[in-house]
Parts: sequence; C-alpha cells; structure tokens
Amino acid sequence: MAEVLIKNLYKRFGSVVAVNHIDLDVQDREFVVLLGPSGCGKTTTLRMVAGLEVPDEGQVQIGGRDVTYLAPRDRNIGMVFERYALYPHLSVFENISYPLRVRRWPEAKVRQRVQEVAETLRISDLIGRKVNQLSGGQMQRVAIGRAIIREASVFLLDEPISHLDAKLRSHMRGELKRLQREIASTAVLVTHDQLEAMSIGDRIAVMNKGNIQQFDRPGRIFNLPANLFVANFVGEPSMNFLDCALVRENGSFRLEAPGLRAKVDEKWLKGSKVLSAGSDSRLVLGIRPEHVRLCSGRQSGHEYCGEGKVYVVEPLGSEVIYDVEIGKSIVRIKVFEEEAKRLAVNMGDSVLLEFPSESIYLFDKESEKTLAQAGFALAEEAKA
Amino acid sequence: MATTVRQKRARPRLLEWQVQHNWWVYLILAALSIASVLPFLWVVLTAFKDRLTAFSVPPTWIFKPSIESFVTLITFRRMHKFLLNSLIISVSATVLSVGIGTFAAYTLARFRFAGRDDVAFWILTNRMLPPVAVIIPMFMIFQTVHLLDTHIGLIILYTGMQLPFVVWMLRGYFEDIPRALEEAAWVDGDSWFAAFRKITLPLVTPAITATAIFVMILSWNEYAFALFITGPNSKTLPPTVVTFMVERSVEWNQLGAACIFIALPILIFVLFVQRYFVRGLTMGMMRQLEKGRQAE
Amino acid sequence: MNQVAQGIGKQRRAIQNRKGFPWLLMSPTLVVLVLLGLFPFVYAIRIAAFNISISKPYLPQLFVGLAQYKDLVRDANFINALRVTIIFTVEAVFIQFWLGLGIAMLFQRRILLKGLFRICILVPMVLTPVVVGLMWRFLLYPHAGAVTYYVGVLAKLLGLTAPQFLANPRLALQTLIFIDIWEWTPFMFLILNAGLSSQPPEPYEAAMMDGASKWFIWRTITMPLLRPSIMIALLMRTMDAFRTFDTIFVLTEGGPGNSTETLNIFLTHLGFKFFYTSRASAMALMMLAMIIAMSFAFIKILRKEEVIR
Repeated sequence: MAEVLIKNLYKRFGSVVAVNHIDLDVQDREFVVLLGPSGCGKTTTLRMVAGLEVPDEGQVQIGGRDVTYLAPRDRNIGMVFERYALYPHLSVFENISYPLRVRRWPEAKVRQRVQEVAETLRISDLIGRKVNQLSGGQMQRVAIGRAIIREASVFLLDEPISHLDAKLRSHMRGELKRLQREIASTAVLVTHDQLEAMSIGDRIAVMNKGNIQQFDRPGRIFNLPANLFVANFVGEPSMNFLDCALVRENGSFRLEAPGLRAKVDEKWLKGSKVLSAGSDSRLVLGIRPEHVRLCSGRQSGHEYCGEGKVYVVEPLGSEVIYDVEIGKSIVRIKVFEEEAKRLAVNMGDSVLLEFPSESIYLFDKESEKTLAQAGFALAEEAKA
Repeated sequence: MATTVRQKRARPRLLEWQVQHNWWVYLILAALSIASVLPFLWVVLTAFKDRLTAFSVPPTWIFKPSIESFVTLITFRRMHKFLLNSLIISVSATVLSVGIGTFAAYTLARFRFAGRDDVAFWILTNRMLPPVAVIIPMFMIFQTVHLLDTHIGLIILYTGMQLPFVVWMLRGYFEDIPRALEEAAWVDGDSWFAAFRKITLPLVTPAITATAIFVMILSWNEYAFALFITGPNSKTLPPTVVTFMVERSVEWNQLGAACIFIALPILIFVLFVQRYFVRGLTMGMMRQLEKGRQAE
Repeated sequence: MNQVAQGIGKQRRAIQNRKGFPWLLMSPTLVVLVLLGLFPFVYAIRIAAFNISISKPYLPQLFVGLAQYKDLVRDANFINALRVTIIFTVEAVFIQFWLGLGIAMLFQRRILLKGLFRICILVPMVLTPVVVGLMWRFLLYPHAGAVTYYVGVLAKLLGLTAPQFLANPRLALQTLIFIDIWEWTPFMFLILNAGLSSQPPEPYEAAMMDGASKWFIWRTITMPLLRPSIMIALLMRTMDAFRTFDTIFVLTEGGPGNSTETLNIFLTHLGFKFFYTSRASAMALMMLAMIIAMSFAFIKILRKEEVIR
C-alpha cells in the first residue's frame, strides 16, 4: 500500500512562502497531478515528498510511514527529473541499472531487469550507448527507466515532458499514463501544462502561490472550478471574464456589463451563493469560449446579449477562434470549422453574441471564489 | 590575398578564414619562440661547459661538452638531496591542498548557508598576503613548534598557501555540475558521500587535474618561504640555487647545471600535461567569470 | 512498532545531513587557513603596534600604537619603494598586456605547428622565477654575460657605450621590467587566448553582413566581448607584479642603490637585514591593505561592466 499523505506542509525560503500549509492525499495507485504556474509551490511540494527538501512544518507520509525527515534513499521512491539528470559519464545501461547496483543486486538479475525495462520503454537498442549521444526523447525514456526499475512504491515526476518538442510531448502524455497503469504504482506529477494535467491525472491539485486552489477530478476541475484562478488556468483558450453587476428589474434578474446584458435563470440564481453574497458585491461573469454563441444576423428565438465587432479571426484547422470586441472587453469565442464556414464572419464584421444562461459562471470579484457554477455542469453532476 | 575558405568546421570563425599563408605571421611567431626559449637553452648549454669555457668572453658556442658541473653538484653539493626534498614537499603539498580544498570548494558551491560569501572572500584574501609579510610571524611560530627545517613544516605551509587557489578554482567547476545529478543519485539510493564519489567527482576530475598541475608548479617554484623556513635538512631546490650567487667566485657552469636541476623536471612535467593544463584553464576561465559575475 | 522506531532512528541520521554539515566539510580547510592565515595576521597586527627590533633586544618593547605606520609613511625609503613598485607594476603589466593580446590574436588564425609555437611561448612562464632571475643575471652580467656582450658589440657599431644593464642604476629598473615582460607575457597570452577562443561567432557574422571593417569589428565586438578575460588577466597580473619578489631579489636585491627596491624588497630589508620587526609588520599590513583595495576596485569595475551589459 503506497498512499502519499501530506499534512499541513509548510516551507519558506527566506521571506518567500513557497508552500503554505497544504494538505493532500494520494490514494494507492492513483496518478495525481500538481498543476500550476511557475512559483506556485508545486515543485517544492514534490521535492519535499522526495526528501530533497525538508519542510519547516508539517508531515509527509508514504504508505503509512512518517518519512518527513528521511533521506530520499530511505523512502522507496523513483523520480524523473525535469532535465532527466542522467549521469553523463555512464552508459545507458549503467544509468538505468544504477539504483539496482547501489543495492548490490546480483549482476544477472540486474541485466535481466534492465532488459525488461528497456523493452517496456522501447529503448532496447540504446542500452550500450553513451548518454550524450541520445536525443531528448530517448534521454527522457532512459530517465523513466531508471525511475521505474526498482518498482518503488511511489513514482515522482518533475515536469518530465516539458522539454520535448510538441509532437513528442503529446505522444508521451499517453505513454506516461499507460505506463503508470502497467506498473501499478502511485504517481505524482508536476506540470504547468493544463492539457497534460487534464489528460494524465486521476485527480488534479491546482496550486497557486503556495496554496491548493482545488483538488478534484479533471472533469470537475474543468466544469466546476472552485475559483477564478482555477477557471482561468484550465481550458484552452481560457475562460472569458467580464466585470458585471447584477440588476433586478421587474422581478427578473439581469447581468449587466458595458455593451452587454445577459439574462439569468432565477432558480439557478437563487440556488447559488450570489444573492447571499450581498448586494454590493461586485461580480465577474465567466463563460468559456466554446459556449458563447455567435451570430451574424438576428434570428428569432434567441436572446442576444450584445453586439460587437470582430477584432481578429484565428483559424486553427478544425476550429476557429474569434476575438470580438464588445464594450471595452474582448470576448474569445471558439467555433467548429463547419459552423465557422456557415457563419462566414470576417475581421471587422459586426456580430451578435449570446451567452446561454446555463453556461455562465459567476465569481466574486474580491475573493475570486465561485459563487455560481454553470447550470449545465450542475445538471451533469446531478445526473452522475 | 583571399584564399579558399576552409569549410572544415560548420561555422568558421571570422578571423580564421584563411589558412595562414602569411609568412610574416610565422616569422613573428618564430622570433617569439626563439626569444622565449633561447635564454634557457643558453643556460643549458653553459651547464655542459667546463669551468673556464663557461665564463669566456666572447661567449663560446662550439665547445667540447663536459658533465663536470653535474658531477660537482651531485658529489659536492648533494643536489640530488635537494631535488628529493623538492619532490617530496611539492607532491605532498599538492595532494593535501587539492584533497582538502576540494571539499571546501564543493561546500561553497553547493550549500546555501549564512556567511557563505564572507567565508569565500576571506579564503580568497589569504592569497593576497605578500609571503614576505607572513614570514616573520611564521618564522617565530615554527620556531616555537620546532617545525623549522622540517619537511612537514614546509608541507603544511605550502598547503595553506595553495588552498585559497584550489578552492577558488574548483568552486566554479562544482557549480557547473547540475544539482539534479546528485539528487538523482540520492533518490537512486546513494548516501551523500557515495553520490559525491561516484557522480560528482568523476565529472570534476579534469578540473582537479588542471588545478593539481598548477599547484604542483607553484609549489615546486616557491622560493621565499623555502629560503627562510628551511635548513640543511629540508631545503628545496630554489633556495639552493641562489646560494651559488652569493659566493664570490661564481661557477657559471654549476649555476647552469643547478638551473637545469630545478627547471627541467617541471618543464618535462608541464610538457606532458600541458594539454590538460590549457584545456582545463580554458574551460575554467569562462566559467569563473560567469560565476564571478553571479556570485558578486 | 519496529518500523516506527526504525523511522525515528533514521530521522536523526538524515538530519545530520542538513544542518552544520557544510561547516563540517569545510573544517579542514578553515582550520589550516586560520592557523596559517589568520594567526600570523593577528600576530602581525600586534607586533606592528609595538617597537620591536630583533637586532636590538635591549631596547624596551613599548606599545606605540600607530606610530610605526606614521613613521613609515614619512620614510623616504618607503616613498621610494612605493614609486619603484608603481612604475614597475604599471609599465610591466601594460606592455605585457598588449603583447599578450597581440600574440593571442595571431593565434586565432589557422597556423601550422601551432602546438609547437605555443609550447615555446609558454616556457618563460613555467620556468621557476628564481631560475629566471639567475638566468638573466647570468646573461646580463657586466661585460661577460651573453646578452651584455652582444648588445655591447651592437652598441659599439652604433657608436654608443655598451649598456651595463643591471649595474646601471638608471637602466636596472627598466631591465627588470623587461624581464618581467619576458616572463609573464605568456600568462596574458593564455588567458586572452582562452577568452578569444570562446567568443561566439554570431556577432561577427552579423557584423560582416553589416559591412563592418576588420578594425571596426575589433574595436566594437572583439574587445568588449573580451572584457571579462581582460579584467581577470589584468587583476591577477597586477596583484602579482605588485608582489614580485623572487626574480627581483635574485637579480638586484633592490640595487644598485635603491633604484630597484620595490615595496616587497624593502620589506625584506626591514625585516631581515635591519630586523626592524615591528616596522616590517606594519609595512606588510599596509601592503596587504593596498592589495585588497586594488582587487576590490578591479572587481567593482568588472561588476559594473556586467550590470551595464
């Protein structure tokens, strides 16, 4: 059993708080991703789990054992470093077999194990080479091989694929996930790439400035973000945010922003925290680019929120992204290719925008917490 | 005078366009080389003359060689003993200073601790002391501790002299080795020392070699301390040679022979290791500068 | 239970690895340096505050505070030594710098037998300084030294008197400077060569495309990029030239008269010829202060360069 438990972990470097009293639990054989921008504390947290940094406060447990002050070699972990950290003066074989050699495994067993690992990672033909003759992707596999060869209970990865070229990166995402399932180890990965986190993690811990913003399954992180930071960080292109105010008129509610007015469902509103937040709380409206509806001309049956001018059109092959200037803000809209063809909208055109009320998120401007989750997401949750 | 551009390397340097067909460059270099080597060659030549020819006016170039000077040096003045002293002391001091200094250099490179930069600067200032300044107190101290005219005394002294240099040079090299390599070794199961021994050290070996060479040369050539701190028992070569000049009737051929005694071993040594020397220095220099910038 | 106990035991072991460990690693070095560096330094300060002369032990050893330093600064010999040292250092370093640079630039070209030339050029630097001193004393010996003789012949041809290099008070210092240049130009060459060799080709390629002349490129690209090497070379050589002892001591020992008495030689005389121990200590400390000040200044300039870049 190899759960990882982090309790009240705190670490400071001089006057900068890197990790601010966080709690985290990783189930046995779960793949957890620590996601966040540079400096958010994710790498520091990982290093404290590895034993490369000592926390100022708090505790780290691996498999029920308190390992907080143990040296890395006593923690039974494997680690893949950001720039692979392969031993330059040793061959591929010597690099991969290093953990076993340190523990004085018999030569025959070492050789056999290295063969197995090399086959799993498809680098069998590289075994005799010197490390400095390898390409980036090959080096990375060797690093992974070195980490998994001992079948440690926990597998730590520090931005393992950030330095690969884009194509290789997207391939390796799947490979890493498959590998983890195969070796059935608990794994913790650190990354700043939200796409990577979403595709690999069983659960994602989004971090910012030393704190965990939200720790949840990818689907929930994406659809039910706990605050503005999470909502902004995940999703490509990121969510649109507009300062707005809640207006009550003739018994119905409306959200108003410069150039925009959006209708909101009263039941949804009453079920959320918006009203209890107080009438003077300022709100931020959030809506994902793929949920905004774009029309070139008025059609009946649609409640349009506002009219704007197309600022730029970015065709991306299967999708098109429109930047529309509305009021003083720019709203980004993602549309599939066929619909874009149908719309036939160009730069400089006037268009109408519709914010479907079930796709709207509302955030408190001060605390940045989510006050109201999108209706569709809640509905899906209810069903599940 | 533009000749063909040699495309041996992918990016030829601006100044290296042409294969040097300019005779004047060779002329200058030849002149410089001769000017550099000839004086010492003359001394070598003189060593093989007999007493009278050595001092002849005008200087003789063609003569019958004799090893009279060498024989006198060895039998009369026991040069071989001083040669041995120099050898023992230089090698010991090199081994000690490099051995001890490596750890200090590593510490300064790797760990962040209070007072680190102050300690580093203080270590460096030890090299700035004019040796002559230290001799007086050192003499008195050594006298008290009965270390005068001993091998150990001089070894300790030289070790202390060279330590700042060793630490200063090696620090930059250690900083160049990514911490992640050691951390990977720790995760793989090595203790701190095992990781240092198996991973870090092999990677710094060229630098250590170059530093050791430097230290060896400096120790071998050291004169000031050797002059004052040694006696008949532990005297090294440099002070020995100078005593020749103090005498009224200078035996030039013996002087020449003595110079050879001192300079030849180290010359041969450098000849053999000059590759490592120049290479290590080249690599190190730029890094020292980088580190120098950042450390400040 | 066992695991918990094991955990705690190992915990303590692991902590050893963290705090105080750096000091442990450095301790041998620090011990040696404190004994050999700090101790004499403190000792010297103490002696310098007194009135000790080993040659006159019958004199009472009074505490005189800073009197030694004051007397020293007013001492004509000290002023002379300072003058000689400055002339020596500045002139020698200046000339050997440009020479070394010239040779380094030559070495950037593709040359046959480059290795051989380099070995030859490095010889003066590798020779024991004492040997260098003796060698040149031999070569420049009045009338009989090889160099003296041939230069004398040349001089006679031109109708001049043959210069007696080291015996002539007016020539001696310049001769020493020449020897220092002969000995240490290879050092400059080594460092500047390393600097030149590691320059990136891109700025040069860009300049070529912009149509710059070789001279212009040298002035605006080569030299600025070489700044760090230049600074290091100048710093090290200046500090060492300032403290030159072996060669000067062996060649002239400050003579003839005191025309070549540098600070270091003067210090030696104070301490080991006249045995004015306290004054010698005071002077040594002053020299140390000067050297530290110089290197500080150099490093400051080097830093400023990098900040601007």
